[in-house]
Amino acid sequence: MTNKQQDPRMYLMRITDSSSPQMHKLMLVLRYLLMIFVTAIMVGPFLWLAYLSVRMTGNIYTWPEAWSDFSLRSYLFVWNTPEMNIKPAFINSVVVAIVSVATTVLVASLAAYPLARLEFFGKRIVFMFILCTLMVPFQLYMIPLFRLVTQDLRLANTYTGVILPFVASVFGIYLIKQFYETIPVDLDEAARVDGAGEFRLWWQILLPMTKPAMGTLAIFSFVGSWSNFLWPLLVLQADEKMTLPVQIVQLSGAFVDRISYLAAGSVIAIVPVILFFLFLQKWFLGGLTLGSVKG
Amino acid sequence: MIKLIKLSIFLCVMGICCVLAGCSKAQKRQIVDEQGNKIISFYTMQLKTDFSDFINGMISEFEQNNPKVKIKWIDQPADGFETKLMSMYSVGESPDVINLNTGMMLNLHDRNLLLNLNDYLTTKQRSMFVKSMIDEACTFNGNTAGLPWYISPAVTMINTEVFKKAGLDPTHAPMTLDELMDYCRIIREKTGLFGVMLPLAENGVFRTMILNEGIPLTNPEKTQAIFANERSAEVLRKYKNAYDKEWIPRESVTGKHRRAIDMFKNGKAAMLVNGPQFLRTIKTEAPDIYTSCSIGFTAPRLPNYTYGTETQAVCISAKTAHPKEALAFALWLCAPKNQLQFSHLVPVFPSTTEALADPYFADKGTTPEQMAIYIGAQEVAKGVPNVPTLPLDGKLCRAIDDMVRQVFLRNVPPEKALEQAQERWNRILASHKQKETGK
Amino acid sequence: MKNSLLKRKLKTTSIAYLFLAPAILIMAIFVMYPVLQGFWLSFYQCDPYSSEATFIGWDNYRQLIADPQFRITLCNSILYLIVVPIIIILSLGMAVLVEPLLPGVNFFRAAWYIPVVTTMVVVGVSFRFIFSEDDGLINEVLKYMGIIQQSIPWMTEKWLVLITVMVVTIWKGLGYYMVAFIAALRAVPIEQIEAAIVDGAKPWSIFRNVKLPNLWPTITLVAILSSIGALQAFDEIYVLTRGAVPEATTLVYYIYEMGFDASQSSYEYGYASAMAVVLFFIVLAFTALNLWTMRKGGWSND
Repeated sequence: MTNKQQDPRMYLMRITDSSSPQMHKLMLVLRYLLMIFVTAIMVGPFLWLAYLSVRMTGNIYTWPEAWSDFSLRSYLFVWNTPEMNIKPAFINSVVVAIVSVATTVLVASLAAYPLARLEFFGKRIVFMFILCTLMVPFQLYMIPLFRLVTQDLRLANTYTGVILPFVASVFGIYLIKQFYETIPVDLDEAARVDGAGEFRLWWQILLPMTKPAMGTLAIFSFVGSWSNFLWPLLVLQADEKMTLPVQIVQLSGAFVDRISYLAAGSVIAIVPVILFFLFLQKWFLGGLTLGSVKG
Repeated sequence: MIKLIKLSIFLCVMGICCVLAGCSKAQKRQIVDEQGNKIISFYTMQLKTDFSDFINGMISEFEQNNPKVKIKWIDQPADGFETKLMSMYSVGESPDVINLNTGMMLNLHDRNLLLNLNDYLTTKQRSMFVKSMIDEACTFNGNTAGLPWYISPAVTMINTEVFKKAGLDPTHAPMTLDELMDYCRIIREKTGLFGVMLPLAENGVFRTMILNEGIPLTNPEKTQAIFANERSAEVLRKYKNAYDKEWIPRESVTGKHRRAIDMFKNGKAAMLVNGPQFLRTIKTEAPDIYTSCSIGFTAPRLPNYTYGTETQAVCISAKTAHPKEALAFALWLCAPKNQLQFSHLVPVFPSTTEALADPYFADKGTTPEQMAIYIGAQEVAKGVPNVPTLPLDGKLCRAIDDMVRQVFLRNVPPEKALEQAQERWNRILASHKQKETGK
Repeated sequence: MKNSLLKRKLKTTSIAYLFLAPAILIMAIFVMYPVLQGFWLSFYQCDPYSSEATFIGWDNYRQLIADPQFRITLCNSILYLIVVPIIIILSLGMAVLVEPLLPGVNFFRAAWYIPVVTTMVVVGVSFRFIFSEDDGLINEVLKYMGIIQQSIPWMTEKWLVLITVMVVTIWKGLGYYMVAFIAALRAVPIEQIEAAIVDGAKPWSIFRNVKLPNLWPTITLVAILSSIGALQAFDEIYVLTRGAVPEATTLVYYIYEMGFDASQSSYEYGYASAMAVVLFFIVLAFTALNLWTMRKGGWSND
């Protein structure tokens, strides 16, 4: 019983996976082997990257003859050279990402509610409209969007201009709508009988129950904002405002492919995203979920 | 409760509107700052990593000499540089001084987006530069689109170890196409390595392979392409033969010049044909290869021409608010003293006669870098770049690259591919002429 | 009675639109308005450097029909949809592996998420190292083991180039969709699973009969997203081949070449827009098809 409280799915796996304890152990070993295999494929290219970031001299394809071929110099250079702007860019990126994530989740959760729960005029049309915006290739409207943002709205060189065009995430609306739809309607009905309005319903019942969806969306929009290269490059003009991806690409010099700098910069850039991911998944992907809330 | 929703949503919408409105006040590009200083924005391509001190030093010295002018230097990544430029231009806010390579300079010039310097340069200022560098590499249809900032002619870097292993003389770089192919075959047979990787389908590089055999690309008026002939086909066949027999790497057709540097750096190719500035990477990342490096003239080439020159220019936007100050700054960047300092930082070559006459370039030296400087300077001194500047350069290059791919990857007979490429060139040249006369 | 129903619906409608307002406003301003301009530009000849444009009617579309490169890249883009089922199956499988909170599961989840967050530029560097023809990892290993004599032309042969870039797409996408699947798997009501166990169901049948039906909405979502991503594949080609093999590029890459690429200096922005419009309708058709088949395939939630 205690096991079940920790993670009901563990308990389920235990009782479904196995006809006997030995069988269970075997399955577990197989599972881990499979997981390690997948890890090798997924992380392999990244390890190569990490290797490139510390291998400073010598032929990168041969086994190093001396330990001096390895060094953390690139990290120190990338992090400490003021002209590279990595530190400020890092902070800029964090700010942009946090604002993007918060706004995206709010906007998507708001929009998803009526689409999932309310019957209203024009629902289908609105839904199609929203879906349509997902399908437009960015190249089709990049230049008009740039003109709009910098000329008509005068948002050149502002973070608003960087963030705002992307906060209405179709993917997010869709994802959260799907989750809202899995929540039994009788909960709403009960609340309505208690005299709750739509807003309270959304705020007090649906929102707390869709943490996994919001967490997923938060991770997605964090990554989206964190790795966006072209748009910040276009909108921002001052060097001190630039975001991380733009600065990282510049680490490779004009005459030289400084792969070790580039790699070090990329490794630095990956760290916060993984931390954010670990932080969020503890909250949203690990703990309580719908089933248990209901119980 | 409905009030609450309404209120919250209203706030949300208002918030967005406020943000929009709030930001709409500021942010028109400044051309003069609060103290009345003229602001000149200066764009470079990925120079920040290696040359921050040098460029900042030039800027602060310039600002001291010109107290009413402030330079705003912004270094842009090479990826997205063009997109950034075009979007800036499309909203009429281009930077004032821009560092461009020949191809991009041509693009912008074709669109009348660069200041024609004929009206601004004095004869004296003009005569500072090596004549061909400003009159041929930076002047199109009689308009001077930019000032040559620095140039880098190609030299041959030789991995002497591999040469010795293959029984070749490392002090002797191959001189002709046949000799080059011979070297590649010998190196491949004796060592299993490659002789050289020449990126054959990158930015129309095969034009130079044709030119280097003394075959003209166009008629003197630059209106008709005339390169589809048996001699050009022979050049293609020689390369194709080497490719099929794997004397040269398979990636010669799909890889770019950075890949060629990679192969040389990692000891997979015995020679590298490129600008001496790349020796810097080799020196830091592959010191053992650098120390055994020998430098030779580039082959195959015509003795009278500078091979594979890449000109980096500083151009001034036609939309600048301060053309005089922008030009003064551009000239300052090209000042012999500054060019010389740049050459000391990285083996690139000055475009002014005074700087080129510096003893630094006459010193044969003993290090590979100094050897490359000596040989490169001799190339530059010839003064005649081998590739003629043609309008719509990018499209022409694309036609050449497509031709190479047809021959190498699809096994199209060289004669046919050349014929097609020539037709394409003629169409492009004709369309440009039509546009010119239509203006 | 009917009247009051209508009244109620009207009231609900007004509330609904209040909820939707921020999203719709932003989409209308930042997507629809510029998109319509893009549509409009497809009837013009224009250059991205200037704001001037010349009206040329349907010429861009006529040029497009006659353009062989357009046909080739369009076919490649559609062919690219092969990655969709692969992504769905693999990412679902990965999600199933790390669903229960076994020791170390957080590590695996995070590790599998790394490709998603790796900058595309360095992804290109890593994969060129793996697939390079002359000294790439795969070729070297296969040669060393004596399986092949000649290098496999990963980067030059049309079909192999397509496979290579697809591998990158899949590799980079799996972690992304896995997260959606983990969230969905954990949202499967535990009571349903318990009930099935009580009935003596085997693991596979629990997955089939209990979990899968609950996963359909997410599968639809992943199918839609990954097919849109596949039809718009660009980055992979940009960093791996830079269009060095024109027969093995996608439509979006071709759009980029025509509209924005410096080294091609075409800058036929109007023509690029026209191709983007065509692509838009293709994506629209595929999404509709996706929604329709998925609804038939067992998801009748709407």
